[in-house]
Amino acid sequence: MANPDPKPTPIGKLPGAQIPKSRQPLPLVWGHFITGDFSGLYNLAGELYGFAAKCNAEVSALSGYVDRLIGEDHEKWSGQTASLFKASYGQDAVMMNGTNRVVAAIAAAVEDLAAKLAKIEYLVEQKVDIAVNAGFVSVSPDGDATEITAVPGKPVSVYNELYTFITKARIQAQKVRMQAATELVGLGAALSSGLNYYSGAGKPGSLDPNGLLTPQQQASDAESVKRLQAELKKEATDIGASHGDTKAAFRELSKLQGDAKTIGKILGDLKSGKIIDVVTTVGPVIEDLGGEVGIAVLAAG
Amino acid sequence: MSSESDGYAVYADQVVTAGGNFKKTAIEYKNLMSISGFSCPDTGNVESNSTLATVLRTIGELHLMIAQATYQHGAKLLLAGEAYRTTEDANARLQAAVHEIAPNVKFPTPPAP
Repeated sequence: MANPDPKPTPIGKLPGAQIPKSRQPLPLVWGHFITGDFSGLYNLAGELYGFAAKCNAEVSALSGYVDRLIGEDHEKWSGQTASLFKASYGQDAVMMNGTNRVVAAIAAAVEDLAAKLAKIEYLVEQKVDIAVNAGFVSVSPDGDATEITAVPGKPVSVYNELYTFITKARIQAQKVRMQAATELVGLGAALSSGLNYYSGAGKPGSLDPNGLLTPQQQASDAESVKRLQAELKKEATDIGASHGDTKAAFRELSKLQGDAKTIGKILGDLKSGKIIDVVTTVGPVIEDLGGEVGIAVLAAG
Repeated sequence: MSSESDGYAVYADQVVTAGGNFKKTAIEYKNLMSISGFSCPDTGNVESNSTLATVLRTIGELHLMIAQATYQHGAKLLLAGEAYRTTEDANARLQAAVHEIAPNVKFPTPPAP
């Protein structure tokens, strides 16, 4: 009896998250005029990049198992069960892949925040160094300065000018933080579409989430998913209220190094609605990011 | 080991092995993130700290759900493989029974064409 199934399409290699081959180190700073753990943020970005890279490898391994098991010409496991399994796993491969790409984009946003804050701190310290060496101001001697002090008997104009510079730098740092927070809310919205998908809250695009998790797993995850999505919505509301210029933030996001296609795709999806709408409704963001190859695999069955 | 089921080639052992590999990879995948998730460094502001923390926890939750789904795929493969093995065993028993009784069965001579 001839096999009536169409020849299976190999899942092959999906377009994984793009991980930068090298990263620009942060400038060396000695003070804390600008608050924030720049090194910690830089290290977190590295952890997120590493995490996305390892997850990429796991997707490749799983896809390899499926391709070796099912083969390309029905010479191995075949039939309806094989085709159904491949389609079911293909959905997951697409979602895993999309998630990895969003994680890499989050890494880029965090790294950008670390770099911008550290640069502002560096510029402040350059000016403070000059004023301290000239004897106009002093800083705490422990190398962990947060404020400057006017030196008695010296012209106060230098202190005042430097104080104004530091104040402006702090305002700029705050803008940078809120811009990063807006970017992160947008990227969080993309992750939220993945939570919706797995919790069975909807069917984004062409993918059907039914059967990926057991009812018990869905029930146990439901509460934390609901809570996280409520928190993401609150973040979107809070950030939107205090930093309404999401367009400016997204312009910056689109300039980030790394997976430009991923970021462009997320921005494209978010532009179709407010961030809050994307967080609270089912969006096809993660699925779209999974890659055209993955969708083609599912369509081929 | 292979058998025929409804005319389709079935490789029960490979299916079972792949199921085991899926489960193993799902566990590896889950363990790529520690139980506590990513630590959240200070961004220097309460609001942006809160946003970063929420996004990092969302990564953790989605990662866990994907790991669960992958593990489920492994379980499905194991079930399919075991079902094929059961069918194969039943076929083998049937064939053995046929061989055993075949010498004693007198088949009717087919009519001449």
